Amino acid sequence: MSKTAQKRLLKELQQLMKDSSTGIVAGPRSENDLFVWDCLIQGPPDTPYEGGIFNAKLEFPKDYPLSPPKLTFTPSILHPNIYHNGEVCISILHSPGDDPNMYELAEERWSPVQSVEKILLSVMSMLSEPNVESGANVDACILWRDNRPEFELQVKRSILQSLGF
Amino acid sequence: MATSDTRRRQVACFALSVYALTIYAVYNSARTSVSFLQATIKLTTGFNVVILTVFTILNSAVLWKLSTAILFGNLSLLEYEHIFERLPFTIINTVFMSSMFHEQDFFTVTLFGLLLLYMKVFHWILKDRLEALLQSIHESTTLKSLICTRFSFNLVLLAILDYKIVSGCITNSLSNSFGASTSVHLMVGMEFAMLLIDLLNLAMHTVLNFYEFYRTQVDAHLSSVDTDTDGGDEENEDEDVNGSSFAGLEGKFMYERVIDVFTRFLKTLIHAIMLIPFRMSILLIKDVFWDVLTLCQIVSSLWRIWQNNKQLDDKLKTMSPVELSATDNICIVCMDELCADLEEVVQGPDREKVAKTGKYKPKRLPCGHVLHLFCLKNWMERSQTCPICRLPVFDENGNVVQSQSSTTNRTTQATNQSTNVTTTAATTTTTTTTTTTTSTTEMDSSGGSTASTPSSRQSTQQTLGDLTPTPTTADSNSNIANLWYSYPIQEAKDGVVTFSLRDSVSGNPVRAKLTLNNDNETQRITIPNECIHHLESIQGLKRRISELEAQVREMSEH
Repeated sequence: MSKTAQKRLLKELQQLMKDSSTGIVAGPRSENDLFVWDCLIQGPPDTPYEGGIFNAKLEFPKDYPLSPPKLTFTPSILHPNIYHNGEVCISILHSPGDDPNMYELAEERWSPVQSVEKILLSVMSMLSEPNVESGANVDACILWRDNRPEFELQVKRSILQSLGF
Repeated sequence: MATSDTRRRQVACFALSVYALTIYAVYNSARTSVSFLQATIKLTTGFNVVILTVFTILNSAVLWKLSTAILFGNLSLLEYEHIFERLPFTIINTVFMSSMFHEQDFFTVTLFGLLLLYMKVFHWILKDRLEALLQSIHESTTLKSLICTRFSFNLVLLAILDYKIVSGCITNSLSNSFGASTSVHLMVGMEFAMLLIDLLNLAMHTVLNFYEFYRTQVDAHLSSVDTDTDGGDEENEDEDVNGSSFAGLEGKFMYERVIDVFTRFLKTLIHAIMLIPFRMSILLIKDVFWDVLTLCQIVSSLWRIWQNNKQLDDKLKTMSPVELSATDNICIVCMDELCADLEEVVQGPDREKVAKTGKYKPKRLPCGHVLHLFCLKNWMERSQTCPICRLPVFDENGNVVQSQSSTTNRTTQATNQSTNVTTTAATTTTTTTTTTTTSTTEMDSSGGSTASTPSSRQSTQQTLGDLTPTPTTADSNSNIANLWYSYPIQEAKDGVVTFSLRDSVSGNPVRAKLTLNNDNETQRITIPNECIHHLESIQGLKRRISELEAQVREMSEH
């Protein structure tokens, strides 16, 4: 029932294994289930996230690539566009049909042209440039806007914690 | 583990103390009073009320736990999350609803309210269970094992319960039309009718999914028979080809939406009917009016999509193999080859079937991008635009948008259908020069090194993909209307055009250069280095980690 999705995911995996961009690693969690991937994302340089390596889970729907996957950071990280439960809120991960926030352009939404690699690269650019207008984590938004040093300090501290210090 | 154990012990202690308190309260009030009436009055005054309320809540919680354990077994974390997400709102709603009625109906209302809460929670769980059931499908699943599950049993059971309650409420309210609790029965009947409709929705979704599963099974069976007869080395190849012949139920998304619309229609209908006994209260009329309005909008948009999708095959041009060879030959949806020669793809007895449905016909959209008909159809159910460049495929009247560029430009675009970048590149060409026939469009970052490293190339695409084009205002060049975007040219001399794009993230202008080489017919677009987020290599990452480690060492020393 999900042959197209499976084939496409396999192709994406092959593509990623052949030549993936630096800073991201992704692959299925287990061989039997192609629909859950584990990803590692490197914090982009010259941002508070620099030096961090973040673990995220990608869950694909059965009708991928027609519907977008869901990306969740495990554990969650402090960022204006990441919910407390780690779920990432960026426009390219929203399906074109529903618009919960009513401000995203159709051009910015999900389309089959996106791929795992592109999603992860978008997330990296999201890490470097948070969009506080459509925040998912309001506390982080306020902190980012009003008290940048404190925000950076908290992020740095959590990175050190995640690296086992 | 330890926390759950202590939690359990706490709950047990609490339950025991509540039971002890209740028994004591009943015993106390019975001992000190002479008649039953006096005992009841004593029980329903003062602290005893609190005890009894806690007792009721505790018991209903225990009962709920027991019944879910019987019906559904263990609940998953997700199901708990969903329940606790919706429960507060529902409880408040129920309380509001019950406040509408007279005091004399208090007991009936409370009873029905609790029952309603129970049933609602069961329905939520059941809905999640369908997802879980579909997730658990694997190779060895058969249709029979799918149907004979707890899920189907629960579905039927809940449907019967709902139906019984609804019919009971209706007959009740009809028979004593002047009774005090008529409105209570009506309201409860309506709420349960809603639940019944939700259940119907769920059942239809289930049937749809099961049907799709059945079709897949039949198809898999066919292909396995096929490969058995073929045998040998070709087996793997064949399986691959046949496996793709049934890649999901066509229009499943559409059917799902139709089902949803249908249930919404039923709900609105019931709301509208409820207006009569409630004497057309303005508040209710407003809600019904809005429901009807949104319903109309949804139906009309659905109808348009349906109409458009029906004519997809006829209105769009099928690409010939020759034309395809000029393109990337990849369908962006399934990332498979766009093979024009159907005979090549499909072998064996399936050939006729597939050729007839023409699933894998490569279709060209007005914007020049090519996709499989099947993939395109599935996408068009969700969005009526090209998945690659988001240009609309149909106009308001359901006609295909006129493709407004010459054939050469179209092939250029199609050549580089993999990225948005090249689309913009081709765009600029048309606005600046129309003399050069483009054969290859090459990307290059101005760092000098060619785009051989995938990382730099990828990041370039990323940034460029975010660039917002300025729509053309008045294009004198040709009949190119809103299809092409133009960028203001800042400088143009001997084959080098400088123009500026706008970064949609920061809003800063990005200066870009387009180099045209007439002799060897190549073009380059150059974008300054600083606009691109370069991603550091693994070495850089390692360096960062060691830096961090040093930092930490320093910190710990102080």
